Amino acid sequence: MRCHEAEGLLAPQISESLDASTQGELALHLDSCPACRAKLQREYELDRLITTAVNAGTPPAEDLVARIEQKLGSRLPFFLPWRWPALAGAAAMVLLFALALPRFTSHDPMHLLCLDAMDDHRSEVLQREPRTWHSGSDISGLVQRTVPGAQVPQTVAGLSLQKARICELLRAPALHLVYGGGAQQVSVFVMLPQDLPPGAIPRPTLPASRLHQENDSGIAVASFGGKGLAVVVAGSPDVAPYVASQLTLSL
Amino acid sequence: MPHARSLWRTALRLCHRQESAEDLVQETMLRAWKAFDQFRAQTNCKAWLFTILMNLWNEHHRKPWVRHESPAQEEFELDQQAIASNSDDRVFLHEVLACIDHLPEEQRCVLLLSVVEGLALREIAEMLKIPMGTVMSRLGRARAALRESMRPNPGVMPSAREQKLCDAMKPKGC
Repeated sequence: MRCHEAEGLLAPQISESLDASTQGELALHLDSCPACRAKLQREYELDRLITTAVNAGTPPAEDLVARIEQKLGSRLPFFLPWRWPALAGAAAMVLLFALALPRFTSHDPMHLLCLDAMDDHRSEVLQREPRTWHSGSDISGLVQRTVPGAQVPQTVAGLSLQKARICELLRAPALHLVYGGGAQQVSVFVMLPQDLPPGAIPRPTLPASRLHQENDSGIAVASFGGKGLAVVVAGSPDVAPYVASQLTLSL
Repeated sequence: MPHARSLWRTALRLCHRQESAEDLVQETMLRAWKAFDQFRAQTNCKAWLFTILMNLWNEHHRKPWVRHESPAQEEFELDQQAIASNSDDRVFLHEVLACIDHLPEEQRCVLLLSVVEGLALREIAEMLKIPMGTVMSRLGRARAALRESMRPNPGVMPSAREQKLCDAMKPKGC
């Protein structure tokens, strides 16, 4: 390779995307050519400079999420005067639907599974009924025995993995993981596809989470890295879907 | 909210206005939330979010009533707030940032996504729906333009600030 051929390939991003043989040729050329090595060094310097300048020119983003949430809350044009009758009608429909929902969902296997998970979370985590828990390095062994090949994240949405045990949901085995931080404690129940109750939806491969809300607790279900179904139970309706989506992303 | 700062950083450099950038990030997050079932597990979440951001940005640009902001409109105020170091460094970084902001948009996009956000060239090509060779040539032109714009005028004694730029670009002196 000659210098003029190497010159176009010296940007770090471009060098990284070259095929193996061209990369090898470039490396050989760089070994023998101090001028091209110096040029590559300058390209790295340029990258560092660009990144530093762009980072320095970006105001802090700590309150960005809060500002976005605030804007999202206020952007819906529901409060225009002529929309009030439509809003009232919609509210009445939602109320009727909410009242009728238990009739339709009480025999839904997924609903029953979520109720059982919420019950376990309440008794075993919130009321601290005596159970044998695994903690620390024991957890990974337990996970491997229960969901072979799965890697459980140590932190999800800022909450740390505290303990784990095997429990039963609708008489089927489930891995119960407890994540916590501050006053917040969140249960994640992991079930293998073959242990799910017949007719349970959604399928474990579905990446989206679906919210079930019971009393003040929030329940969300999500895929557990394609290996099973994760049922997330939290003390607040907002937290469960957030933790479920973060769990999906981290697996 | 994952990758919010990365989206915010890129949106600011695309829009040149804090308010527009906030709107763009907000719309990106909203669309991502609504379309979360389309996200494929085990794929790059950051690239997925940036694809949404770039699609929104392109949609926004196609609208005939959109007023295109020039880079100078808000940058000074923004930089003064954000760059909290000594005044030499501040001016120096301000000049580098101004060079980036004055790049043609297509080059600026590729430069930011690749150099600052660390996305692979293949991902950028898919995101912008352009061939990989085009991404590489845009990146090359952006880097060349930046190097060129940071070079002081020949024949004029470089100021301390220009000398600093020069030192950063050419360690052996110029």
